[in-house]
Amino acid sequence: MKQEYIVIILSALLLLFLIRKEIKRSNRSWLAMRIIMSVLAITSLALLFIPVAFTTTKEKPSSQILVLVTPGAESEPDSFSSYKHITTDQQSSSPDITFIPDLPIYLSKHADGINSIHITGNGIMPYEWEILKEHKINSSYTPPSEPGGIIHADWPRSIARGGQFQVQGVYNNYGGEDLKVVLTGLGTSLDSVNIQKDSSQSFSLACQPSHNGNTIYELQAIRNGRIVSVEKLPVIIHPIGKPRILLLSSSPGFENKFLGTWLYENNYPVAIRNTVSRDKYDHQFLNMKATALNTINASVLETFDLLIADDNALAELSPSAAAALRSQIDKGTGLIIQSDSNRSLSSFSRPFILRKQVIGQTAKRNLSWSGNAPQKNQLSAEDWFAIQPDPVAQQLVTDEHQSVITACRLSGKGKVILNTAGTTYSWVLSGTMGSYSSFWSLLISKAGRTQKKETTWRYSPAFPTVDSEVRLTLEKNNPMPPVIKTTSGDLYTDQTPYLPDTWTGNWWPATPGWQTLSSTDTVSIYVFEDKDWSAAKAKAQISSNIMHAEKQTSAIGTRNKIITETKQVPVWFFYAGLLIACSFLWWERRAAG
Amino acid sequence: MAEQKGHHIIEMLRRKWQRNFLSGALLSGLAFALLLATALNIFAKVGWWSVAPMATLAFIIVYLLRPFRRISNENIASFLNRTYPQLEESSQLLLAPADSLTLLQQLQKQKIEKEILRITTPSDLLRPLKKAALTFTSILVVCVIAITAKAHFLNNVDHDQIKNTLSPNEKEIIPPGIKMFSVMITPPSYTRMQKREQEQFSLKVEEGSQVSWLIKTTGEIDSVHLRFNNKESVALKRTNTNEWTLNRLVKEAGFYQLELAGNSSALYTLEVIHDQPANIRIISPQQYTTIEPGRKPVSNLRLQISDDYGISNALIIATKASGKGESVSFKEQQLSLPVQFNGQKNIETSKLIDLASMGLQGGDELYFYIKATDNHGQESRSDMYFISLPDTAELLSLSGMDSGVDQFPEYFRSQRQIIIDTEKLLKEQSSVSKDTFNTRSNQLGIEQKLLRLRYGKFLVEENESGGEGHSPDDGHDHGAGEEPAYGDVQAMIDQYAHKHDNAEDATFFEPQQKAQLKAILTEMWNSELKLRTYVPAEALPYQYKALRLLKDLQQKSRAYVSKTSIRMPPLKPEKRLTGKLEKIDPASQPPKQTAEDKQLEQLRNAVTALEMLKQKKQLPIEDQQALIAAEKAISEKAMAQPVFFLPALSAVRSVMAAPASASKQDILSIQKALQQIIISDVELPRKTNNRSGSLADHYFKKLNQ
Repeated sequence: MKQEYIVIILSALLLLFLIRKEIKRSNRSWLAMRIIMSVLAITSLALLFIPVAFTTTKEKPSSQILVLVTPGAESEPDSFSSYKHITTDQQSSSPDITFIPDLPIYLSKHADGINSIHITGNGIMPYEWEILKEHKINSSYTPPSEPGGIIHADWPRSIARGGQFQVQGVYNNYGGEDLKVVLTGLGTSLDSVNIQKDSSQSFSLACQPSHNGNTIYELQAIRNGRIVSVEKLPVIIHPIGKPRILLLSSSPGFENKFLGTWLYENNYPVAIRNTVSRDKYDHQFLNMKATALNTINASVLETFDLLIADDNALAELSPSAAAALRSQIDKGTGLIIQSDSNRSLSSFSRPFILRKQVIGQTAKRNLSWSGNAPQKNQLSAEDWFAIQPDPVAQQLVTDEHQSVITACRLSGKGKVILNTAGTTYSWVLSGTMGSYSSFWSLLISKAGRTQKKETTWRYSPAFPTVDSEVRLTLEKNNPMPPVIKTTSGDLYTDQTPYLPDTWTGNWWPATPGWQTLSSTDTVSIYVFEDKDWSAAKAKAQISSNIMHAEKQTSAIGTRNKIITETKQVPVWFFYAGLLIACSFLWWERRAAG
Repeated sequence: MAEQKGHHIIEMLRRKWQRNFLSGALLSGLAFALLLATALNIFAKVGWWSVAPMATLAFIIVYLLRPFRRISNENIASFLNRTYPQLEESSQLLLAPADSLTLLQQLQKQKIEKEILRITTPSDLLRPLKKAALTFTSILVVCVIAITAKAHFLNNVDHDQIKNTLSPNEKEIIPPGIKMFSVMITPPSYTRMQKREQEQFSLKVEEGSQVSWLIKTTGEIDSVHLRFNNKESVALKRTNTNEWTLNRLVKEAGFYQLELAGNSSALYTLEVIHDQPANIRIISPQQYTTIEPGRKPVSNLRLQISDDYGISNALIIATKASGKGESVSFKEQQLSLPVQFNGQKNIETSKLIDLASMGLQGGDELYFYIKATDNHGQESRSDMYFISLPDTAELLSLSGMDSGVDQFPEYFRSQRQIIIDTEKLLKEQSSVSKDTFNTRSNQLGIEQKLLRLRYGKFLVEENESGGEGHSPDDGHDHGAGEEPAYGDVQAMIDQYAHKHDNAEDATFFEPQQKAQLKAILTEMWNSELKLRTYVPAEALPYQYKALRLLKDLQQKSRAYVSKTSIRMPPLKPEKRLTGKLEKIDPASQPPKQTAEDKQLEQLRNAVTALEMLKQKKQLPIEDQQALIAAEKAISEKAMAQPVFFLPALSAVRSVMAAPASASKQDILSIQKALQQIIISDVELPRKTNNRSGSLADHYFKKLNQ
């Protein structure tokens, strides 16, 4: 600065001197011009020594396009070959592909020079997408072709023994040969399905577990007798909870007899009350202690989870008993009504509208319900009734003409089921116990009182993996925040707003296998290893990346970098000015004198 | 030199001859040796190694006997002289030394030399070789035939033994200390199978066969035992130093292990093939047959019997039931089959059962079944087959028809009347003329037709021909000259539409009744056919069948229960119809509990414990109990089905011995066996979980307010 000050002061002095000289000259022609030119000369001379700079803004397109290669990348279009390739995965790095240890840090250093990033392969994590958005970098994603193998699979993570265990999923078979997917567990093959070659097919396999505890079933893919891949299905099988059942009947019949015997043999607590004559009852207590059942009131009904009665018996109940029953149903007890006429005798069956079906040629019908093929369940009866379809009543059992045989309505917290098939005992007599047990399991499980669990646990993602985040959600009526104890330490939970019972925590499992988590009750979660379910995880990641890429392009429009630059006025400019000024002054002097 | 050349040639020929002779001799020697060796193999069971000494012996003999060594050059020369006339009997000159020859001889020699160069090798040189080759091939062929014949015919010889080789999949674990062992199995004599010997411990034997073990040990051992089914331990007898034997009659399946010098070997299976009883199949008649009164009372019985080892006897056991109501009498007979039983495995035969000769009349029934015995003494019998002859008297009577509501009273009588008339006609057949007979038969046919049409009205049968099919004009009314009224849509449609059934008529009867009526009509039609074609004898069965079906139809809805005499307590009129129930107490039953199947629970716990063991490699103390129960259950199953359960049993024992180092394969096989024991396919009702939280409870409470 000092140098410039000296130059300015000297040139100002020189300028004053020159101007004075000009003014003092006697010849007054061209005076103004002479003064201007002197000023110009002196300023050019001064500016020869002082650099002058000015700033301009310019739109400059960024030059660099990057290709980010992630695992699972396939061949890329030729236009990409000229760009620079980077990757965060050690195994993909090669002389052509530079390895960068962490994407956010790389971006924070080089973000300005990057115009756009093309992502190939399975994709990046959601937090990396956030960072790309912050830096306002154009990103595009080319998904690879769908991975081969099991790309979706779902199964219940915990079931009760006695129910069916079903796994459903989609298999991409890209090899040139047919493939068999087999569900195996405990050393035996339980169910299998054939997948055609070069196709993507959905499968559904089921089995009936007969033991308790933490089990791992396996899905094996077998091609030509060789096992191609094995995936684990961890399940927790709970012991069966047996509902307490009360059977009321107004007249002895086969149906109740066989039902009572079947429940007794399978160790269910059953109480049977048959009407023998007016106010005379015959009581039977199976697998439970005897209680007084002559009058039905609220306290008696509270000890039972389910009531199975026929319409006549319900009509015979005294008004106080009927009121007690209705209030208990509202509190959760279930009711199954067996009806054998198309008039409803009691107030409980009045909401269902019954009609008698024309028998026609067939007294035998094939019944079907969810999870059961109709061919196996043939029932014959003298009269067939049907329930009018109703938007409020759920259809449980239908026959081959799509008439509803059994329907279920909600009533308060409990359920009322009307069953018009009164000859199901013939399945027991003909030996098809499978149909009988499936039918009555459906009805009793649906109607019985539900049990409340103390804590409900949920977790996401679907395949918790070692060293990846697992979000745990607890539902628990607890004033204090629950603490989740794991083998690698304690987790503290957050309460979600607006849902005071729901608490969430993040867990990073360190070891694979069954892990036990406990707060007020214990739960086991199976943690997979990195190589498990690779196709499904890849597919999930591809889908999430496609979604993020679409959101990103709509958020960021075309973007160019705005660059401010300082430029210097070129020196020759001032040389030219000085030359012109001096030439004028010299010409003027010549012209004048 | 020329003379040398001739000499050489002769020499060469001599050598050739010697060589051929030698080869020929060798070949024939070999051929005879082969023949002798085959003979020894077939008859004296000497192995094939005997060919070698035989061959050497033959060579030596041949060498000594055949004088081929003694062929000399002179012999060759004379042979050449004989064979080639161009040599002019002077080839011996070539052998003589040059200076001993005269001039003429030398001249001749020179001439001969040129000739001798041109002769070809005589084919006679090969003669011995050819002869020997022929002998050799013929003997080879004979030996091959003999060997194949031996293999073919050997099955009939009783005392031969077949060596059983180990199937390539199973490798048995032989305990150490055994040098050699073999097991000889003798099936029971009635099976007519021969003894066999095998060199493996897992056995699959016929029931009741004698099994004898022979074990040779390497060192001195005090005692060797065989432990059967983990319960019974039998000691082997020492027959020689280091040689032990045991004979045992095997009746039931299971598993066994060898115990020597305190070490137990692995478990070996002992499977038993049971003798199944004979299988009887009756091809005709059907299970229930009725012979109508017009037909001949005979029945052709055709049957097939097969057994795995042999059938010793088969009989028909027939029971005749006659009479009805409470006075039914039964008489049992045994009929034999027209076939010779000498233990063959398959019998196919037929017999004509003549019911009349057994004394059956109308109203009687014959029940029979076949009983067959196989050569092990096991009996088996077939289903019961029924042949019944309906009673004409009962059919024709009016019993059961005059009580209750009749829907078709006079129609029944008509059918009955037709039958009576037909029988009367048949009785008088010999006494009336043919024309009258035919006319009367035709009359009866017309009556039958009218009856049929009357019945057919219920099924809207309007045409006169046959029971099935109707002409396209049926429901179509050709209303001649009647124009339908304008706008009368139904009448217009009726002109062109087919009406099969009149809706009001069709609801009188249920479909089953209509089907039965149709059957009756078919019978009536057949009877009418026969009557109209003047063969009333053949019409009778159809008429009887029609009557029987009609009676059935009418009586269908009635159930007859015969009254038995019962004695009731006397009624008290003052207590009747009062409706007082105080003194009546319903029976009360004590509460019942089913026992939880403890064993099943233990097995389930065992499966769970094994699953934990797979992952955590440790077995808590309380699960040891479950594994012990599992071992017991599997060993019981292994006695019944050793092939499936024996590997699991050994796996359980090894896991219990060392739980921490149990291999995954072992655990899987135990779980597989347990699954087979406790598998249950039935679904059971269960309590479902309440998915709603306390927020839902709040909402519900607010709803109610």
